Amino acid sequence: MVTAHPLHARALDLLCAGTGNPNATFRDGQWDAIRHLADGDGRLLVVQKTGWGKSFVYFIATKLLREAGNGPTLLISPLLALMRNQIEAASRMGVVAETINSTNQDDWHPVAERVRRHEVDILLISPERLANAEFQATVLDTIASRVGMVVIDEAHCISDWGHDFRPQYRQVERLLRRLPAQSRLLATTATANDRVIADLREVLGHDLTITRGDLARPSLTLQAISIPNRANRLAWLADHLGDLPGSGIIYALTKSDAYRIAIWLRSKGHAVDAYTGGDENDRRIALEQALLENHVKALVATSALGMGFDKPDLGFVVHFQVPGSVVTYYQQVGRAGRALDDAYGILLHGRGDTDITTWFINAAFPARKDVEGILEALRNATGGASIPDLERLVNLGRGRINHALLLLGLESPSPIAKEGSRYFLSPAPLPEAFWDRVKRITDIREAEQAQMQAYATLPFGDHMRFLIDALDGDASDVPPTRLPPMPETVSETTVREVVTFLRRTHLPIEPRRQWPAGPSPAWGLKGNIPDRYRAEEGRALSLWGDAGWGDTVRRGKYEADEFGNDLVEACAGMIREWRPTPAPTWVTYIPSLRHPSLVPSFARRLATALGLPCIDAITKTVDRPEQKHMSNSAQQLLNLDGSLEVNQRAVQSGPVILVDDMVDSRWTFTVGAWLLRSSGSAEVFPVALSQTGSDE
Amino acid sequence: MTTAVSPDTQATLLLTAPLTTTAKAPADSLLKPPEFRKVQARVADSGHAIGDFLGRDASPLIDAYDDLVPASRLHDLLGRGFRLAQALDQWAARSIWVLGVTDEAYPSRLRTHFGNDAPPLLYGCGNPDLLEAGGLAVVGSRDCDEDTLAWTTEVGRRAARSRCQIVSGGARGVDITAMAGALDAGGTACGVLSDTLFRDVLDVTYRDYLQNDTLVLISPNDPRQRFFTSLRMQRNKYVYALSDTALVVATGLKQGGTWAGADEQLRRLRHVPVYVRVPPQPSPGLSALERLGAHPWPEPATPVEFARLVRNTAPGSPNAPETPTASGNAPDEAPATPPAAVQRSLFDL
Repeated sequence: MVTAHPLHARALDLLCAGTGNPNATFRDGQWDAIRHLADGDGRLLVVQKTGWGKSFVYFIATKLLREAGNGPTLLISPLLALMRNQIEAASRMGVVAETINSTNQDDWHPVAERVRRHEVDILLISPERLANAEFQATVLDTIASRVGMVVIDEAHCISDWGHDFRPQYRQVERLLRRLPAQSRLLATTATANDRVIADLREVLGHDLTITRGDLARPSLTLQAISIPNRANRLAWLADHLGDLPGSGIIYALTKSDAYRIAIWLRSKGHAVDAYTGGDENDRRIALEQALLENHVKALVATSALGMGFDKPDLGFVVHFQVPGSVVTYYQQVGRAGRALDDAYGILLHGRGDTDITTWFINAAFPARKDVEGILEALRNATGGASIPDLERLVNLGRGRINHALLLLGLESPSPIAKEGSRYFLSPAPLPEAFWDRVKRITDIREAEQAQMQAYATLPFGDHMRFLIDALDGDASDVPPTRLPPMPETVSETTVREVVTFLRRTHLPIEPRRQWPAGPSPAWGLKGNIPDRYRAEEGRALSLWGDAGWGDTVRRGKYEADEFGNDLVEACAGMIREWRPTPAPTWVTYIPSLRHPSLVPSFARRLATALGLPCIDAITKTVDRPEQKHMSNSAQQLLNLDGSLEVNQRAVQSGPVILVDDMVDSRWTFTVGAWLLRSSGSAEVFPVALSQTGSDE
Repeated sequence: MTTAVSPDTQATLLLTAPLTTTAKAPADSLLKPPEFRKVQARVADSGHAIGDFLGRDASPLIDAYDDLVPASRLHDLLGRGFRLAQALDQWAARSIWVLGVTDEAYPSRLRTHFGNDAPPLLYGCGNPDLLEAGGLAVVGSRDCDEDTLAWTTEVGRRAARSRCQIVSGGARGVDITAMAGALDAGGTACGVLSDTLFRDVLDVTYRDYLQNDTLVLISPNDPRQRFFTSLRMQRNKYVYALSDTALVVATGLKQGGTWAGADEQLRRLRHVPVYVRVPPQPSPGLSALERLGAHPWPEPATPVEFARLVRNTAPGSPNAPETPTASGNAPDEAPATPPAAVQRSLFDL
């Protein structure tokens, strides 16, 4: 039987060493998977929920293969920063694991050297690295001829039906298709429904062996609470976070939500912190550690805190909004209660949730006209085009250009190719099939979104069955929920506090430090902006349209054509609290030909409230389209270029507050500050009523 | 062309190809051509295919070649599966495909002319059907005067009008000029490169023709192979072999790649008939090739005559299949070369 296998005893020793438990035994299916890989019995797909111990399978199999003289394992995983626990377990088994990612570039050469000396047993890389020329040259090339086994983590991302569209998995998919049949291959995932498995079978070959575990999480009590208004949802968190068991995770869809929720909850005395993909690696490690050790009640996180984070005693997962798909939701909520008898998985939902997920769906692919514009620009550029070249040639933001180039570059054949830093058109036109696939994926994601909306409206008690059904698991013996539902109510007092909180939350306006690739035709602006011409850090009173002042600003601009004195008071209060230094001695504003009195009237009243003179120092000479219609820095500056003038004699020599209603790209403030400072003013402090979202 | 790479070609790539994925070729100990030929010969004798090396239980099979190549070396080379996948992926991204000698699309002319010495792998981009189209090989020096290039362009144009393909080496000068002449006139061309295919497929000179299937570029060397003069020399014979008839437009005397290729063709390989241009001023190189057996280019006056000449079916052409009376008296009967204006009008019909 299985125990008769010559490697079983060695494998069990390794498991005991890795777990630190001398009496450890393999979980159901673990040994079979290890044996399969060690014997070279063909490709293997392991579908097991997080916490089952997939990493023991590939670490032990790697060790056994290395001991038999095979080459090292290459593991491709999207979130390596989160595999620290697993790597520690590997080292206890004597498996030398090295990680390569964008944050440890200093280590690449030493790691490559160790790979060359055959000292590394398993190299962990992200799919993004595969497409990186620098990584290819310094690291991957040293191992590429000797890879003994390839492991693909989160393999569901290969499928269009896998949630969480990751473009780089296109390349992973193609590599797998081109891997000769005899190469050892392990694909792992926690969630794969029948359609995902069918796709994986197609990519990995039909002799694929599949092991699939069950999906039910009896310890989880799931609940969906409808709270249409965001302010009330913030209130719910403040009112009920303390009643949730142990420590947990609050998931938000965007970084700015995560930060805002964390600040709000801290202001109400809860021990929470925000965790997003924008945070430094060290900070993320510290935050994870704080959660693991229950030093925080919760981390308010984006999906960046996800795959690979393993805290068996996580007491709850709360979603502030409805995520985009059942699979995402199952993965995130499934982190709670792994080794507990009871845990909560609570979904808050309401207005605006689908706006965000719809935005994510639509932003996943570039628009057809953007792609066509880029390809046309490349067609006419005989010597190829760099990214700054493309910024000048097409009216698109750098982010959108990069995104389109990334997706086009991942096609095979690709319509574009990169040589050095320049992009060329390749001999292959972009096939219509590309857009068919865009449409198909978009349709899938809209269906997933609708499925999640259906989940949100289920009665209490039906949720787990729904999830397992949606994932094509066996929902026949899902036990009843164990915990009572959490209350759905919020206190009126807390709601009022939320509004006050939002009104006090001011947003910094960072100064621009560099002109876009130029020079601009009228003003000749190019290169770095010297300190003496730069704006200082400024402040925006609100986020456009939010529950604090955002709505008031919107009504003022588009309905009343007048900003009320409540906004003047709020702004003056913001400035008094902020205390820009050196203290401003005068106020001026950005004029507009389209709304000639809106901003001047506000600026004058604000100046009065601050006890400062308001001086008309800048004039608008040419009417130009609104900045929001310009989509990259080069175009935004071009749109302003030559359209403003300074009344030299009016400019005062002291520090000044420069007022505008909206701030988006910050180019208007940047140019305004440059004009004022060139004309003899001291420091320029931008102040805006509202910040809109599309800043790059 | 996105078809899967056959097991035979996979194994050939693993055993013989550098599979370069960065600026630098890997230091794998590849089978040299003589080693690979020995392995191939035994594979054929034993009724196997080279692709069998990739089977799940191929170890005993591979070990049986230990006397030719140490089995450990074979195992190491065949273990380069990940590198192979990466290389194929990089090539495919630029529409570069690869053919092994057992693949159906592999050009039959190379198999016929070279037998076991045929290049085991061909990398290419563009329409692979053109590899079977034969046509006129046009070769010549890189540095030529304007008149020679104008004449070469006209040859390319006429080839197109005569529905004959131009085969060339894709080098600057005569090679590219002849291909461009044909392609611009709506004809097809086959370029046999020795290096840098990976970069050349992005060249605007080629791009549109690769896209609309009127051009194929191939190379017997890794797509990222860097330039070496010796490799340029080695690919000359494939230019001749893929054509039906060759035309040398200009050459130095006993020096340079054009001379070496023509000399090799005339004296040793003899795959196709070789013509030389009859230039206004006598050329010592071209005259010397005539003495080695090249024929003067007769300036065919119509598309029909041009096509007959290229396809070796013209009465009097050196290898014409049916030439009961041709031998010897053909040059005398050939019509006088019409004035250029008349030639042009006939080709423009």
